[in-house]
Amino acid sequence: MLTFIKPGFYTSVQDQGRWKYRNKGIPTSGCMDDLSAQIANALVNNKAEDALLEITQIGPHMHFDTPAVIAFSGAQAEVKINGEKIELNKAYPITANTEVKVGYCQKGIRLYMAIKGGFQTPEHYGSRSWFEGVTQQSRCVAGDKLPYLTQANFLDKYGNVVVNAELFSDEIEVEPGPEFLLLGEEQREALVTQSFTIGNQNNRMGYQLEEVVKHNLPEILSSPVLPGTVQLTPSGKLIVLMKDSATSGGYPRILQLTELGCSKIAQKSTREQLHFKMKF
Amino acid sequence: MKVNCVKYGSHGVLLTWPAEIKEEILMEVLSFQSALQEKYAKRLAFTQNAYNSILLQFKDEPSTEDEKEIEFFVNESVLNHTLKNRQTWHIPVCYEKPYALDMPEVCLKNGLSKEEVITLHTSPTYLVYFMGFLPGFCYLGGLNEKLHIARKSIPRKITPKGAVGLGGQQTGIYPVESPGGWNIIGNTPVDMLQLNLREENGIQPGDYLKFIPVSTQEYEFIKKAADQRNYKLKSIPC
Repeated sequence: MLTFIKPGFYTSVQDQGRWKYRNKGIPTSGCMDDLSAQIANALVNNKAEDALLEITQIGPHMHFDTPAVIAFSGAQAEVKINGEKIELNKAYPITANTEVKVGYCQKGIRLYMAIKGGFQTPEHYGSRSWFEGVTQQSRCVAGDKLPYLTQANFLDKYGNVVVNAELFSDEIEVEPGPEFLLLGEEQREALVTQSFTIGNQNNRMGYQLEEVVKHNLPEILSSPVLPGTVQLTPSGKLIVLMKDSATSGGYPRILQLTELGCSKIAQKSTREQLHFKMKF
Repeated sequence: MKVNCVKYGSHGVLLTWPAEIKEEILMEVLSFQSALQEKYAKRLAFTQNAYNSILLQFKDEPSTEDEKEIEFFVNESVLNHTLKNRQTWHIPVCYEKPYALDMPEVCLKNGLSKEEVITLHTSPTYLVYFMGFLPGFCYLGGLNEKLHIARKSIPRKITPKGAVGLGGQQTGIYPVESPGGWNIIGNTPVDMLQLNLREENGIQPGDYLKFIPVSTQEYEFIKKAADQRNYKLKSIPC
């Protein structure tokens, strides 16, 4: 078992998400920065679907009571195993009764900890991703315990990777959204030339951007939306929908972030700037 | 009806019918959704419908040819596909204190007595268009105009699970606890999320809901039975 001595700011179990129940109004959930999550899983020879820990901004302090193999990828933070600093993007075997401390994220805001075999928390509707209302909890609190598969042998080969430096760039790749062509030339131009600032309202559901794109588009009849969809609100502010967003919405969907774009924005926080780069 | 077909994200294709909330449009949407699910069964990750649209999310990236094929299919085929297993669900609702949080406000604003509100709300059979907004939340059509009412100016921080509300031209049930701006006129003891998620015989878009008024005693009784999974909800095949 892994026990949380301190839970950190917002730590949760996530995987590739719950796609099959979107027609029932259940959000996808899953890793916000899926790229880093996949790297962390690959480092411990896991499958992409294995459940891992998503750590946000302030890291947790954890106790492992049995041997395991862990790896961190994503935001840059100081991680210590029994007081000794370790590298990110590398697998580490740990022995029974080990303490792991994750510090503040200094670059980026989301760090993933994969554990060999994946967390064995219960599956709800085809996924282990935590989402309030569907799973019992949405974030870790002190004293929480997470089951994992104890590792007896450390002889397997584990690789390491070079961090994708692009992950922290301010360029976010997008494609046109379903309502993009309803925009005028001027607005389309503004979307890719202007820089945007992330507002206070940013979480697993969505990121609101501060700048205003003036427009006169009417709302649409509620229609499906996806994680990574950029909505244009009546006030002209943009909302980037993230993994826990509702499954449908009534604002024009003007842009769609690529998968890499979703991972990159998931590493950004309040006040940070970004540019949209159209991918054709 | 002309159906618009566009790529949505790297793996999605979005089909859009004319922008109207109409049973006729929903029926066409649902028929095509089920036909397309069959046609691309192996390649689809999921499909999702709304009033006048379908999102087809593929496991692989759909090609331009796929898009053309889908566009041709939805615009040129005539389906004589009738929806299977449609049902009318009888949902018990208690319109009394302490559940009817905003009943006095609704009565005052719309100039109705409590009995009139209950009669107006329980008379129609509501069509389920799709689920969204919250897990298991059904978008319903068919609310009587006399019950149209603006959302609350200050939304509630917590609207309880099962709350039955009025907002704008819509009525609906909160399947889970959530912040919300709707005017709450009752509560159902039925777990709407579970009802939605049943693998077999759950609520589907295209089904109907009918609200059945129950007393506080009946509410408590049903709630207890439902919590112990001893309550069988009434549903009538259409």
